[in-house]
Amino acid sequence: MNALQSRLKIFARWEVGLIGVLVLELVIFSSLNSKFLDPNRLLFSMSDFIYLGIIALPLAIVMITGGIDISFASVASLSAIVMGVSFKSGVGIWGALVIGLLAAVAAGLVNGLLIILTRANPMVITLGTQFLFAGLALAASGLGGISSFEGVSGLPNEFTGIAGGRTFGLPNMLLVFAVVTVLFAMLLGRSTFGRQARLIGANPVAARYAGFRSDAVIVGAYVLTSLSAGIVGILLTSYVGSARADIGASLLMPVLTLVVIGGVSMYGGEGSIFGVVVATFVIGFLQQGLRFARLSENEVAVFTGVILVAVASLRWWSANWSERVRNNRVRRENLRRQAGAADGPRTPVAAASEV
Amino acid sequence: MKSLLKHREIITIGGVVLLVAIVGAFHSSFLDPANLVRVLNSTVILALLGAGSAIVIITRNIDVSVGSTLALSGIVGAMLMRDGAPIWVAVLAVLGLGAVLGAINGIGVTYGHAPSIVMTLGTLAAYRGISFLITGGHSIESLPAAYRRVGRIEILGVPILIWIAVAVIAALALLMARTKFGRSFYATGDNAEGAYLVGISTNTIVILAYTISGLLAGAAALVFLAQVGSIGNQAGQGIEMRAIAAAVIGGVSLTGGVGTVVGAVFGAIFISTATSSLSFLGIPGSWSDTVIGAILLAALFADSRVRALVSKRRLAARYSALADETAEGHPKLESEVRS
Repeated sequence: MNALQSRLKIFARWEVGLIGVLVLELVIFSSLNSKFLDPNRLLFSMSDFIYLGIIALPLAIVMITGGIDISFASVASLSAIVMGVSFKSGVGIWGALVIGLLAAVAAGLVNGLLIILTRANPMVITLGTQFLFAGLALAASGLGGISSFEGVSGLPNEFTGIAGGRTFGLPNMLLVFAVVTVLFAMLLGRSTFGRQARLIGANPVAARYAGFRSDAVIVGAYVLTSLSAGIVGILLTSYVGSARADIGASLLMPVLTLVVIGGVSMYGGEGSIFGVVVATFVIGFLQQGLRFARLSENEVAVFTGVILVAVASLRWWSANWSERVRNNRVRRENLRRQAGAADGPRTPVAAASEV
Repeated sequence: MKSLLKHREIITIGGVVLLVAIVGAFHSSFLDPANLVRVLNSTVILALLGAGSAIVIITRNIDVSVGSTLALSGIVGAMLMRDGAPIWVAVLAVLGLGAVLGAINGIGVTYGHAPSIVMTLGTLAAYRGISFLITGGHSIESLPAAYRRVGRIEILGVPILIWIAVAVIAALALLMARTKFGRSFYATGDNAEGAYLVGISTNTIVILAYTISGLLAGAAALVFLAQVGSIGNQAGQGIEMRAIAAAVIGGVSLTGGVGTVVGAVFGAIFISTATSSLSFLGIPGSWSDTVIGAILLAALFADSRVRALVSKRRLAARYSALADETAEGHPKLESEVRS
């Protein structure tokens, strides 16, 4: 229990640190350019990055179970193009939207089932399905007779208005993100599914012996990630106004960055929705601020790559450092206790517990 | 069965032969030597990258940055040649830069303690961004004719680039399979703590694995320059996933310690044969990714079935041996069974 508490403390610190970075960013960028803090601009520019968070949240759950999904970018493309092709072949736009999302759910089921059936490394499985889904997206657009350059355009206005529009004065993308955040926070923090997901990631064997339905939880996590990827594919389609087979192609790297910076461990069992949410804003505002400071797109890419590596490294070193501090404290306490007990030779057990 | 498991690449080689035979049965022009050379020629880059990925994966890491390494080192080499540097200087610069870019990955993974996929995703973006920055977004066209001519030299009807690639890969394969140094890559991937305890400097081995991967990406960039004659910022984009797929299809296990360079190369040949045979079978090229994905998943599925079967048999054999011995009255063994 003690170990768990101190572990939680590290995470609290990690997320507090992230918030600190966020505040620092806002201060620095607004001092460089006072327009940066303009609330209207700040609110609406969020649509440029907030969709990344929509996939990052369920991906965090997948990584908390000890898995990984690198096929989500292809799933986003697949569901966008399936929607586009259905629309072109005469299905109403909302029906097409549902078909697109169903394609995403099917993709998630394929991922999850392949992983539990083969017990192969999730990274290879989703590497395979990444090709598979991207290929299917291209093939679907080929079969639908769609030029890969233009995609399906001429989508109705009530659909293209979704991503750019606002409800109650807030951008729709932000609202979707907020809803998804609340849902996944509840799911991870307040449900059996979430607790089991975390414990499966921490120790899959123990989870199985404890009678968890591990397979169902794992498949569920992959389906949620694919569904969210499908939602993002459709939101992006609405944002750019045409359904393309490569619309999700550039999602992989930024989304993984969010999850890692949000404090989710690549090895399972650790991480929180809150951390990923804060990371979404940290990275989003960082990239925007850098662009505001007149850095080119490529300089921003280099910068983000370096930050990603630095943060991942820092995470290990900070954990290592805090563990060393804790060990030293325990060692000192033990010494003090022994000095109090004074007599009696040090038992091997006591000596061992100090190491 | 056992030797089949020990030499998983045999299955891949068999797959390549089978694939060529099947496509050849439908279209004998596919078996035309000129066409086979064309397929091999289009495989060289992927084969070099796949071999590098295999070595990194054998140490239980992963490298998704090879495409960006190819682009950055190739662009620097092309700029040097364009600006009049001697060709041998440019070639050494490309290989050296590739090795350095790889070593950076290795140092980040070992001493920086960044998970390998995070580290190489970071450099995937960073290297690509740097290559955009130094070119300003333009591709580099005017390479010296002397260098481009290298790509067209043929020995016995086969381009010299293929001969060189075969020599490099053979040397690497021998190094990995026959030397103590090569085996330490397997030991590191199989059990890093154990390898460390028997005196292998695992950090050095991992850094070297990434360095070799970067070096091979540099070599692939040289092939790219010779074959294409120019290089743009998009060069090698997305090829890293194909390189990993080649390694996995060739029998390299992502959990480390298993697989060979030769297997990965045949995995690459398998992928390019499969994609180039699509047009012969009348399937549009847009299906190529689907085919790669399906092949990869089928290979994984078959692999997991075979492995489950083997471990079941092995356990059964062990239990029956134990049961026999305990029946003969070795009470000591019972505790072993329980533990």
